[in-house]
Amino acid sequence: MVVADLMPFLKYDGVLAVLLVKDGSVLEKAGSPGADTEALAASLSLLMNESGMIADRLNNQSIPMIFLEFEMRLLLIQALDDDRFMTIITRADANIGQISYRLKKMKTGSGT
Amino acid sequence: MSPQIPEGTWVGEIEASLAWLLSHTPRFLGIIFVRVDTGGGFILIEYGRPAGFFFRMGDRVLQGAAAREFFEGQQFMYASLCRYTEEEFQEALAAAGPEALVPDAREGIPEPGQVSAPVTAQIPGEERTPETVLDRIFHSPGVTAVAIFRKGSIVDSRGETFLEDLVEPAEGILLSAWEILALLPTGPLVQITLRFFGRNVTIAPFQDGYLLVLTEPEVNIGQIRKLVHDAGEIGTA
Repeated sequence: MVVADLMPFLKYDGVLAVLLVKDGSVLEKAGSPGADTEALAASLSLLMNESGMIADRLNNQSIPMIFLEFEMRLLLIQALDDDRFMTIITRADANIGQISYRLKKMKTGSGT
Repeated sequence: MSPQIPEGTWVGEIEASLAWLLSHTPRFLGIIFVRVDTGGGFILIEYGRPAGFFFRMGDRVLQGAAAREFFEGQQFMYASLCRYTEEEFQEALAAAGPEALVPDAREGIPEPGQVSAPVTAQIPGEERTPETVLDRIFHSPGVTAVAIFRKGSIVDSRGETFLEDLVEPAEGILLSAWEILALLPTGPLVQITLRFFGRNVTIAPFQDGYLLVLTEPEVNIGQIRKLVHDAGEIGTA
């Protein structure tokens, strides 16, 4: 996956940035995250580890999609393969149904 | 590794909320060492202005605004106040490092009279007791379990009984959320939803703790958000 794969998400209204992260580091990014992306990637990776613990305790091995909602921002995090995950940073009023649908399609490899 | 902070001169101990501590230290130059169930840290105070925040829980460290957010979420903390000389304070600022410091954090600090007494919990509205909120959420379509947790433990719950096992990772997720909150202009935390195949897990601030809600997969994120909002007041994390 390269930057070109992330760009389509920026077309959706309210999407500010897209990051592709692995092992606490940013592999690719597009848009303007408005933050230190390396620090953000480290925090997001810890969050993914903790969500893996929840999955274990639920005896659920599926790959999660995480919605981190703040009053002014929404972060959608989709685990991919090889411990990579994609994070989409949006305004709070973005159409998350549309974006999460596209993310899900990307994960299953049926569309980008 | 924790910063090597000067110890200062011990002046006293108290159990209090962050708001109470900040509103009662206008003539204090020093450090407040704080301890909660999950870890410990400190707050640097410069005559009523909180200058820096640091908190460690195991291997996890929160600094600056993220640590402040964490302290604000505590009902009360064990606080030990130690006075500094000007030199010690400068030494402490240097030892704490730039990530722990906050530029000017006086905004939102209540006046002393506005915070009545230490160790005083927020009293929830009678119509929104934890019990009624749990019942209301649990009886909503698609909900399989709901709990309120605080400081590593379930306070009350409905439905499936294994929720206690989820509290520790849920608190880890909240720590990450506070770190993100300090990095991005996000505003307060509203809720976190994890969508697994066959199950959704939602964590949302509620009074002085958090709601943990398990729902079936067909319940979408908009429904979960409405459910949590309708059922009870949403605090700020």
